[in-house]
Amino acid sequence: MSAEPFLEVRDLKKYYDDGGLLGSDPVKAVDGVSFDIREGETLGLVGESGCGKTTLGRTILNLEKATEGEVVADETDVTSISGRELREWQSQAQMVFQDPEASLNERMTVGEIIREPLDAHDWPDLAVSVGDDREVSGKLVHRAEAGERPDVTVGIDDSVTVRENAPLSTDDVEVEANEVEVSVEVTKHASEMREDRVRDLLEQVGLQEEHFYRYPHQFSGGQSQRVGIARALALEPRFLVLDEPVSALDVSVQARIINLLEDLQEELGLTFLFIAHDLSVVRHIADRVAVMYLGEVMELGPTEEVFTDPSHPYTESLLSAIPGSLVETGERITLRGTPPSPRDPPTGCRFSTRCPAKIRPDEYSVSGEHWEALDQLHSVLRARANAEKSIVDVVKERLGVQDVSTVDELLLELFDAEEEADGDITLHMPDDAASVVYEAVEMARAGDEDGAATRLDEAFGSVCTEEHPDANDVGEGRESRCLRHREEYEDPGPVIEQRYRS
Amino acid sequence: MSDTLLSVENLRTVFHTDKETIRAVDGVSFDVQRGETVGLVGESGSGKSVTARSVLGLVEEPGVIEEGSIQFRGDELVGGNWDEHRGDIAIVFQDPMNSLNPVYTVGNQIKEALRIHQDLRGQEATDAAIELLEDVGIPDAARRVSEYPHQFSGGMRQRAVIAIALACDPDLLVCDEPTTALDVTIQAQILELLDDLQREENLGVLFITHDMGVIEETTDRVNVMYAGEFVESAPVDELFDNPRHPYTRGLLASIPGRTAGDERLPTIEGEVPTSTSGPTSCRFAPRCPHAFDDCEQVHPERIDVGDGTVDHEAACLLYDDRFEESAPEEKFADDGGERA
Repeated sequence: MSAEPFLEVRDLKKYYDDGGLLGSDPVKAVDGVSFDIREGETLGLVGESGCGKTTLGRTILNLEKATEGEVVADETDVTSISGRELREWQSQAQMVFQDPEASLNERMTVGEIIREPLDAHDWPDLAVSVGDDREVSGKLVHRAEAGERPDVTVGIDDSVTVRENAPLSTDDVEVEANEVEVSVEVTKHASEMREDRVRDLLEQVGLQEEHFYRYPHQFSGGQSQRVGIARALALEPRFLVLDEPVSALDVSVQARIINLLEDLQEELGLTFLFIAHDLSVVRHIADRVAVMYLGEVMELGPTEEVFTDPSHPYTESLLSAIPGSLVETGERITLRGTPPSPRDPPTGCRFSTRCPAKIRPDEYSVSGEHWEALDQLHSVLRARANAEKSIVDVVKERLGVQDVSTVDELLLELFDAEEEADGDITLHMPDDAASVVYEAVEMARAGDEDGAATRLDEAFGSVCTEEHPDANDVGEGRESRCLRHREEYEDPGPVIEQRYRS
Repeated sequence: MSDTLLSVENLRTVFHTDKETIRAVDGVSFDVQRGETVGLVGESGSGKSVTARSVLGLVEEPGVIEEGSIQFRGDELVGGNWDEHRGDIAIVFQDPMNSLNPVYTVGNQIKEALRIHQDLRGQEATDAAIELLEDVGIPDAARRVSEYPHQFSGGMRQRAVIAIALACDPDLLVCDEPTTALDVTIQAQILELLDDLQREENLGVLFITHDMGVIEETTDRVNVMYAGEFVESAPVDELFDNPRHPYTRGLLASIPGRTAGDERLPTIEGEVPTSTSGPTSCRFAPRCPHAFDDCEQVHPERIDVGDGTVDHEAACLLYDDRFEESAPEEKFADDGGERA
């Protein structure tokens, strides 16, 4: 594996805008992602659903228009190309989808499905290399450009050689050459070459020739995924985005598809972007792994290092959630709740609302449990502020009639507090902290949940909720987006160890 | 001291189609004790879900329980006694969105279960519903109770489904792939919740999944299912440390990422067959790397393969002294399938 980047992703962004009347905030599906994918490697991309993995894969392929940023392959920014250039890029970079059955047209035979990209791209367009600077003419051929792999080579003595694995043999090529021009006539019909190609592909992905005329419904999940892979390989791409290619499969079938992908990669020198939420699969197949959260890459590094010694608290929590991992790691760090909405991501660090290693302000001496309760109170208030309100709720709010009781209940539930006889609630925490909570609760009672959340932020926020962390170099080609990598703070690992495992 | 909730004996559930009769579940037996989690693991099509549905009396036409007995606390259920135990056994399905009705609030759906099973109504039911939502870890339950399923995230929906299941105050909870549709972080939350609830309520749990990692973490005893039959049963640690049946060994070996490194994943070739007739041979034989001639002729019985201290059974001729070929340890030694 060479370390040459095949693809450079630079500050890539993809926003979806509702374009609603009110000009609401866009959904920031991918928000400033930068990494390289090296020639011949498998880069794993993991994260929870909704973190932007699939959108990132699709944007790299230019199936989605990038909002900002660049994806550079062969010195071309593929996010801004169109027409011929785009078609050229899309024949080099293909996608395999998650649900094999849904991604195959059930009215077409398997042969037709695999052949479709060949028809759509007017395949083949044979690259002819001539030893000197003579022009090349003829149907189905073009002059090989610098760096392009030639399918047909015409020597200075006008001898013809055809690349191994090309869809034709030397007998199918007739060459007439003069001083200035080489005229190449391909006698084999294009449709014949396409049929041959499809049969080769079937064999390559481990299907039989008789499958050519069958329909997708006659196939099992594993076989359907093989068809999807064959279709992606039809145009001899160099790069595949594999979007959860084995998630829908049983483990024994999954193992066979993974082996197939690894074989194909070795045989054809492919580069993979492997998207998955199953961390064990990624650990097996990926050389390097990128961990995504709310549109950002939180950690990036060589797979084994990231899995055995994660730098970012999110990676640590994600790994600790793998079923069966408990047996090795002991205590599990269970993340509360779900990721916040990508329409309204937290200010500061994206992960700060769920982070087990969040930096806490020094001025309050609050117990660990109460810090968690405060975080939870904050997220409930935020959720309430952002919730769609029914007409009844809106009217109640206008009239100043609020469900007072639910705020109190929340306090009792979260803080294990006591209700006095006169209805007051006493929190068992230092007065300075408690008074802030009372203040916020008062605002929430008055219907200003947004303000209440902001009040909590002001008091209990820290650098994590204020500053957006950059990707830090943490050595050995690894980077991690966490403020705790700064010198003045303790590293995330020991903090988690102390808070949750001691 | 055992307190047997569920006792399934030689259960056979078949589906009659125009062409043939499919034996989805073919002669399985197991018990679930109070406070115990029994796992059922296997590939798609092995009959796991049909077993679960049989236990709840939810097998629908053209399916029918053809043979065997299902007893709940000693009462025979096969033949139509399910209604008496409706509230004693609850089920949690895989996809929470399909289990919830989109046009009713979550609270209404919990209250429906409370009304039917505990005869609670009005404010009393609402309070109980809020309490249940709190029990399953939904923050701000008092507010959330009047929201609709689409306002809940995937993990919260599954929590709501569990709350509905708990509203019947069951003794036995059947979980049919309850976390398969969820992210790993949410899965961890739900598994933790189920574990807590089980301990608090001393529930018996029948846990169905295809994920060996989930099995390892949640269950006490595991049954490995293949083509409608249990091919191996053992306490969870014993099964993972000392798998006996070639199918179990294959399943464990094909899990990626358990061992670091770039080597190829061992695989099991072929597909799970559909059983249409009574067993006359080992159903795994066509895919088994260690099959010998007798495997095509004789249906293996479940025999004790433990070391005497644990209750470990497998249905494989390799362990049957009547056959010359039986010397499994030597065979396994060179297939490298041993778990690291």
